[in-house]
Amino acid sequence: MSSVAVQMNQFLMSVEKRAFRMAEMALGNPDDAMDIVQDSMMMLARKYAKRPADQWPPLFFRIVQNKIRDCYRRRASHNRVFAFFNQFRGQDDEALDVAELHASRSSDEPEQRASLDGATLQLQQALEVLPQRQQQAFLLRSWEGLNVAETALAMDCSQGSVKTHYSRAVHRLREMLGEHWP
Amino acid sequence: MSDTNDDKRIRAAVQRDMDDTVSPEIAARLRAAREEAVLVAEKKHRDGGLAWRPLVPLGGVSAAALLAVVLINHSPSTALPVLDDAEMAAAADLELLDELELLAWLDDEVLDAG
Repeated sequence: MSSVAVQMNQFLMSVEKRAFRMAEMALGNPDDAMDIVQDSMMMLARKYAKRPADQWPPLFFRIVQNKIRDCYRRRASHNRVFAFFNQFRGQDDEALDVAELHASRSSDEPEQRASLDGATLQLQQALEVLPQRQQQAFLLRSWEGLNVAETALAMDCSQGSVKTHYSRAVHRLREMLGEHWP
Repeated sequence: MSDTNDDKRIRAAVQRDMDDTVSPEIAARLRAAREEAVLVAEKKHRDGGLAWRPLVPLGGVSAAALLAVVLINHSPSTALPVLDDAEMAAAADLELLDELELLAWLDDEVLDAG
């Protein structure tokens, strides 16, 4: 196995679980999250394997975030189509928003939730209700450990936007978590 | 760009509290996806030095076409050569000389006839 393959294996092993959890948290669906991580791994290997390994983290998470955004868009168009047809059926169904998605997901996984301790569960629930961009900025900075410039590259936005999203996320988490938050 | 103390505290709390464990089934699928991606990276790395080979026939055709264009543009011209001033003057002198010879011959003819 070449050094590139060894480095790629080590890098993907170090990020795959967090990437999966981020995608799952954003989308509320493990199958969609798995598809996104699989596709992102393949795209990184296919397009960026020749780049220096220290460039892989922001590139990989940029691919992940783009695919999450694509998934949101597909769902939004799907929901619009269903909302349109539901008008004619006289139903009052509104497009499924992310909060409802998380609520449904939360009830689907009681055993997993029960296994988490209090602080972890509270933080996870608080993160799930953050707006998508705040959630991304916060997780990439605090959990993945990317700096502001790398996070900006991963989120495809300016460094100023990263700081704004991150700061709002921290403010919101402090409001929700109170004394459980540093 | 360095993190503030606040950022460091938050990061420590997140590292402590966030849960990145996944079910055995998800772990197995992630491992399979990773192994597949690593194979692709390995293949890319191995083929990297040979990536230009499929372009060889295209390069040959391009070179031949370029050579043809150059040869056509530099083929000998069929247009009449342009004379410079000295050549024009020499040509005019020859005409004058011919005229003088004609006049001399006419004179001789007239004299012979007389």
